[in-house]
Amino acid sequence: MIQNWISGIYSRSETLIEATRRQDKTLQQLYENEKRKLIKRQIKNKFDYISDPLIDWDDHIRPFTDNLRGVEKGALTRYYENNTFYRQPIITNKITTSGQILKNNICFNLFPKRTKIKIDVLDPFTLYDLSVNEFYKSEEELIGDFGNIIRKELLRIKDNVNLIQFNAPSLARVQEKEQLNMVKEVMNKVTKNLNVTTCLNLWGSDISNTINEFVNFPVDVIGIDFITTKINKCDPIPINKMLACGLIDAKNTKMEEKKQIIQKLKTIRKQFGVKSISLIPSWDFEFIPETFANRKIELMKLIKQDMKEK
Amino acid sequence: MKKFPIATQEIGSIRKPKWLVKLLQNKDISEEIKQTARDDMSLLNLKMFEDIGLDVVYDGEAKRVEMYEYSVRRIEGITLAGKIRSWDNKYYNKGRCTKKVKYKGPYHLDEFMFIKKNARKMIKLPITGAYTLADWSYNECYKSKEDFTIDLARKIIRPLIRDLVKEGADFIQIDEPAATTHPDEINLVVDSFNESIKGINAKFGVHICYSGNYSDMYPHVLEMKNHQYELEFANRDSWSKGVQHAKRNGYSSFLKTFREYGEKKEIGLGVLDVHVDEIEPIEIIRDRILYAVKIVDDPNLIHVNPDCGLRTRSRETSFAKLKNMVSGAKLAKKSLGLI
Repeated sequence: MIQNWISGIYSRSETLIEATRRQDKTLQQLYENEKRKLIKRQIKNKFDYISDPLIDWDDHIRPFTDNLRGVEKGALTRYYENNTFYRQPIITNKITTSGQILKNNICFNLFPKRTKIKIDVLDPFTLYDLSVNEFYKSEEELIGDFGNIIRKELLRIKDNVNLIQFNAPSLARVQEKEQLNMVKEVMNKVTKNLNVTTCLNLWGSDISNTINEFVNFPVDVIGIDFITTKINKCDPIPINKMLACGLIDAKNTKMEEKKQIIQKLKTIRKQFGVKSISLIPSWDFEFIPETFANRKIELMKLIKQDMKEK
Repeated sequence: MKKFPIATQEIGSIRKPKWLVKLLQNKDISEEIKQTARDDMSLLNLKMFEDIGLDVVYDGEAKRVEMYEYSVRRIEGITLAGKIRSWDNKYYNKGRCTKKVKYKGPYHLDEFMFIKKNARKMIKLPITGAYTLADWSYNECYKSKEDFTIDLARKIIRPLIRDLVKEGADFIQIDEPAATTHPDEINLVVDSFNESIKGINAKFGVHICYSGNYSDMYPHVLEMKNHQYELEFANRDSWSKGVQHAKRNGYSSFLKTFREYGEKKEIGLGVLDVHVDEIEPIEIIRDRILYAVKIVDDPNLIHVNPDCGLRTRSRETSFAKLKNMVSGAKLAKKSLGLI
């Protein structure tokens, strides 16, 4: 059994790019139309969870930067090792939320009925790491408050959601066990009794040294970027959760060979003894033009089909 | 090399007026007229910079679409894949390298010859460096990023620089905005820079911006054979007056590292934030310069420029910012007894 879904922000179409450049009056309508198309595309490709493509988000953290109390907008800052920049939140006071940020920034109204909806949100550590702290005395305190905020946001929408994916690019870089344990405690509070499938998606870093720490995080699915994490470097530890395999390179237009991906999925399944597995992109598809992203999700569908048949 | 303390310089592109963009996109207008329009814009920018009082000039890259796209369109082996977002609603056209790269000729030569003929001030010619070209392209051909980058340095950038220097270019700024994107690849940045300029006699600058921390480039960057760093700082600095460390938080970390390593290269100090419309007051620009001089302890090492190209700001805002930069530099020179 193999599942698939996409992650994060999808690439914008040429039409949308031009409209955003012109700040077209019909931009809001266009966002909606384009989102409908992309939702339809995921459904057509038989994805197991359907995501808001987030094409109207300026960056992963912006809805929080714009709407959290206690936060001011800071400088444009490089988003990890990409030629992409985000607006850095500056924490100037205790952070609080109305609990409406995700509700208002995810297009729940555009999903057809009975769709299994997946939402993307940064984990508390990544939110902390991407911010500038000018208020809190300790990192634990700020990470804890980000955890409280995420929980409040999720409680508001959980009944409409089937999969919550915590994208954790900063957490994926952490090597210290003590720090990981601290974040694990925060995540315990965030996910407690949510009654929704949860995924911790470890984007952008080689986690071969810390994989045995992450498998104990309080989530149902662990997502690994297998473009940066080399399979043969990972200890063959048993993983009793679903493993979301980021084997589709979201940062390169080069098309993967179907056979090779299937082989890698088989190796992963054997190496970690996982029963359930999913195929996902290594990062957001916004790093490649839309035409290439579309080709890659079609390939994901074909791989799933082939694996089912065998 | 001649000392030129607190020289003011341009760093990259200036926004093209809407009428020019429309004209260049109009398929009914002949290439000859478009070329005349490009020349006029180049001349206008050049004269604006000279009138404002910049000491080192180019033409605001008036004839280039964009620093990356302009170059890759002229390199055999790379084709454009489509637009990718840099931030918010800003995009760049990203290329795919599908076969080994090949030099097709000196793609900045015509614009350089035009500027050489018309400029009255010292010229600094910007070109996009090998590492950035590789980092911003999809590599579908080479076995590794290292192979791709070094091939670009040897087969594209070096012959380009050689051809430009042969025609009189004596100060070249190699733009490497991607240089600090992957801190563990700083050796590749340095190696590709050195490969690019190998055996060529000219003054070379390297422009790097929007880095997490420039200090991470040390000690490897000491091996880079550049004469000047042109760096972004204002974006991360406070808007308060003063020359204390706390007031100049955007500059302190790198400048202290620079001094600790005993660097004797020049710094092109970014004193204008190119992402905001607010015009930096001249006293803040002065204090940013004075702070830098205080830390590196030699005004000859400090040159002054915007953080990066001003293309995201209106022309009015850009020129107003540059005017204040020149005035701020004058105030700083006065404080230091240099004028």
